[in-house]
Order: sequence, then structure tokens, then C-alpha cells
Amino acid sequence: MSSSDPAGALALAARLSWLEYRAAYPWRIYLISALPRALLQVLFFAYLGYFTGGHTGRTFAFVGASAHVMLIATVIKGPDVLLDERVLGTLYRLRLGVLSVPAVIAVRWWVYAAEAIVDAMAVIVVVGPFVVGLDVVERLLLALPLFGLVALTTSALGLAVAAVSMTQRADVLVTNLANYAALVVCGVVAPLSALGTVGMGIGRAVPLTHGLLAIRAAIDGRPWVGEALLEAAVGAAWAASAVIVLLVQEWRARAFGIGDRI
Amino acid sequence: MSPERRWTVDVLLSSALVQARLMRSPVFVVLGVVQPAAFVLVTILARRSPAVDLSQAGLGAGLLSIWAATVWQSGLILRAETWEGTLGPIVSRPAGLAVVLLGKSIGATVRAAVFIGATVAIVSALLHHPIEVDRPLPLAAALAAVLASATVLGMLLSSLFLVTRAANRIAEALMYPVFILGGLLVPLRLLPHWIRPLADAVSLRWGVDLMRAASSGVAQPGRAWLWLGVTTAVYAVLARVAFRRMLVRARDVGSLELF
Repeated sequence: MSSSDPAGALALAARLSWLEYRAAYPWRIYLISALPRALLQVLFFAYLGYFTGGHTGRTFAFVGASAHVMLIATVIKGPDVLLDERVLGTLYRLRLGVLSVPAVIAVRWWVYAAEAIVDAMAVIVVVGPFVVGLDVVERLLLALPLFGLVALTTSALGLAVAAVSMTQRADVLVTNLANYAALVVCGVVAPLSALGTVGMGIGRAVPLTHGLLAIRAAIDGRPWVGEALLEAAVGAAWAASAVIVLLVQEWRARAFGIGDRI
Repeated sequence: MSPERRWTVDVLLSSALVQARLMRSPVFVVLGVVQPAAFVLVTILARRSPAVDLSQAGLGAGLLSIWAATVWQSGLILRAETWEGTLGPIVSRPAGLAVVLLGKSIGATVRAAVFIGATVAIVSALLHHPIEVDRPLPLAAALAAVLASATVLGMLLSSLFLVTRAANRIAEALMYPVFILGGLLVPLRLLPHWIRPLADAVSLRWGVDLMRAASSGVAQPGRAWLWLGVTTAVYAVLARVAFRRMLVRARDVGSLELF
């Protein structure tokens, strides 16, 4: 492999990303910590929905929380792909490489998108039968491609969050803020209509909102393609914003020699 | 007061103050402001019928966040000392680690409570569901007892987290079991019957009963006071055992800053 083989270099980056993930989250840790957290988080929100809205609220909250749980991987953990380079002082080497930083980060991100989908599947299969019944579980499993779409669009949100956090010492704040903001404005436990006009407008500009509407439509047997396309468009806009921020940061680092200043 | 006792109190207060001042990090903003605000907002916005009583949603969201702060702030005190390389020097000082840990746990819990309390009070009021305080003194007594219990829990977790490399991951997993079993925001009556006895081992479950009673103006159940005391005492014994084992192990095999 050489600099003339960018596809091979990106494939290597993707493979190394898996090894890095396994080192940070060995199976034992995933099974005793990350997975139970995902299951219990969704169970908690389902009960919260039950408390505030009865059986209807419980099903609504379970479906919403099953999609929102993916943000643990794509918005909270995923940004480490980029931020660890800053923490470990290796960001400049990435910037000096032959591949663009956004491309390298994007291919390394796949493990977190995959974890998001696995988390959502586990939640649906393990918690779902006890909370919403097998009928809804079956329909949610049929809607898994939409969960895959949401994993990608929320990864775009995560990348934007990581890019903004790069020049600050506030990555924990920004990633968690994005996660909790999505919980409130994306129609996860409380329906979008409860947010008012302004809140709904904000919510519709955040990845997850349209994806969740598409998932709800799909399991109810209503048309969902329109909402899915909107989700893809919102995700693409966030991805483009993230790439622009990363490129501007790279340009500033070269122009002003501030690559390592954080 | 003897000079030794006065000196111990000084170390205790200094440790509490140092910990409170250290908690200016973004993590604290998440735990003290973002998370409680999000839980209050979601709970109140999700209400589908006016028949659902949300008068104590703010109280419940606040207690959820107290638990989260206990796990992520108090629970990681000793681990943070390890990261900073200051754990060994503290252990070898005359005051000892136990006094410093107690002081820091108190500082972390009280500071978190102040910010969480202000956040849930403001957000609840803005959403027209202000936290009601019909009986202020019993409410203050219950809050003090809850914070004492949270402090002891923080010391227990801090000692346990010191012997594992996966402290952060375990902290993640510990949050939601108590969110569910504590009945802090979602009433325990909504849980299946078979799981409710587990809730009795969670001290905050009794604390929230006391605070809700005081908030709504009814007499606080004596049983809740009793079990809050018993569970906190059990946590204190476990914390003492874990702390001693951690120190003995560290001295025995020289593993204070190793795993």
C-alpha cells in the first residue's frame, strides 16, 4: 500500500478502527456495562412514557428510546475517533497525511454506527417483548433499515459535535448536550407537537427527528419514505457542516500554526 | 475540642472546599444543569392527560441527577486522585485518606445539590409546574438525610472504582438501575410486583418518599426514615470494608496506583 492507494489506506484505517474499538471496549466490558446501560436506559424511558401517557405513552416512548439509544454510540462515544487524536497529540500527523482528515474519520466511524445498530437491535429483542409485545417487536425489526439510516445521520451529528469540540476543552459538555437536546426536541418520549412551533422547527433540523417519524410511520403501516428522505437530507447537511468545520480548522492550523493549541 | 480533632475538622473542610472548587469542569455542567433540565422538560412535555400528577416531577428529576452526580463525581474522586498522581501522597499524610475522601464526597454532593436544586426549581417553574413546599422543615431534614446517604454511597463507589480499570464503564451501567428501582421519577407502583422488593435496598427510594410527603404537606412515614437510616448504615459499613480492603491490598502488593 502507498500514497497512491487511497482506497487501501482507508480500508486499513477502518480495520485498525475495529482493533482500537476492541481495545477500548473489550467484549467483557461491552456485555457487563455498555449493553446493560442501553437496555436499562430504554426500559427507564418506556416506564417514564407509561407514567406520563399510559399504554400509548409507553409504546411511543419505547420506540423513541430504541432509536435514541443509538446516540450513545454515535454522539457520545463516536467523537473520540477525532478527539483522541487531539488528546494524544497525534492530530498534526493525521493532518500531514495524504488522506483528508474527514475521510479518515468517516471510515473509522463505522464501528460506532455498527454498535448503534447492535444496541438498538438488542433493545428491541430483549426489552421489547416485555414492554410493547411481540407484535410491535416484529414490526420494529422490519424497520431496522430505518434504524440503520438513523445510525448514519446521528453519526453526522456526532461528527459535527466532534468537530466543534476540537478546539475547545468541552467535548464532554458538547456531546452530552447534543444527546440530551435530542432527547427533548426529537420526539423521543414527548411528541413533537408538545414542543410548540419553535421547538418543532428546531427538532426537525436535528438528525433523529424525521428518522423517528419514519420508523413510527413504518410500524403503523403508514407511508414513511418522505420522512426517511428528509432524515437523509438533514443528516447530509450536518455531515457537510462537519466537513466544512474540519477543513477550516485544518486551514487555520496550517495558516497560523495553531494546530496543537486547544 | 482537642487539637487533633480540630485538625481533622480542618482537613475535612479543606477537602470539601477543594472538591467544590474542582467541580467547574464541563462534566459538572452536564450533571448539575443539562441532565436535570432535560429530565424535567421531557417528563412535563410527555404528559398526555391532565390527570397525571406532575407536581413532583421536578423533585424526582432532581433526585435522579443527585444519583448521577454521586456516581460520576463522588464515585470517581479516588480515581481522579490516581489520574493526578496525588493518591499516594494523600495516603501517606498524617490526616489519612478516609478524612480527605469524606470531605471531598461532602463537597461534591453539596455542590451538586445546589446546582441541581436551582436548575429543577427554575425549569419546573418556567413550565408552570413549580416544586411545592408545604412543609419546609421536614423537607429540609429529608434533603439533608438524602445528601448524607448520597455522600456515603459516593465513598463506597469511590473505593470500589479504585480497583478496576473499567470504572467509567461501570459508572455508566450503575445509573439506570437506580433510576428505575429508586422510584425517583417514575412511581414504583408501575413496576412489576416481583421487582419491587429490590427497590427497598436503594436508600434514595426512601428519601424520595420522605421528600414527596413533605412537599405535599402530609406526615412523613416513620418507616421511610427507619429504612433510609438502615440502608445508609449498611452502605457505610460496606464503604468502610471496601476502603480498608483497598488500602490493605495497596500496602500488601504495592498496587495503590496500579490495577
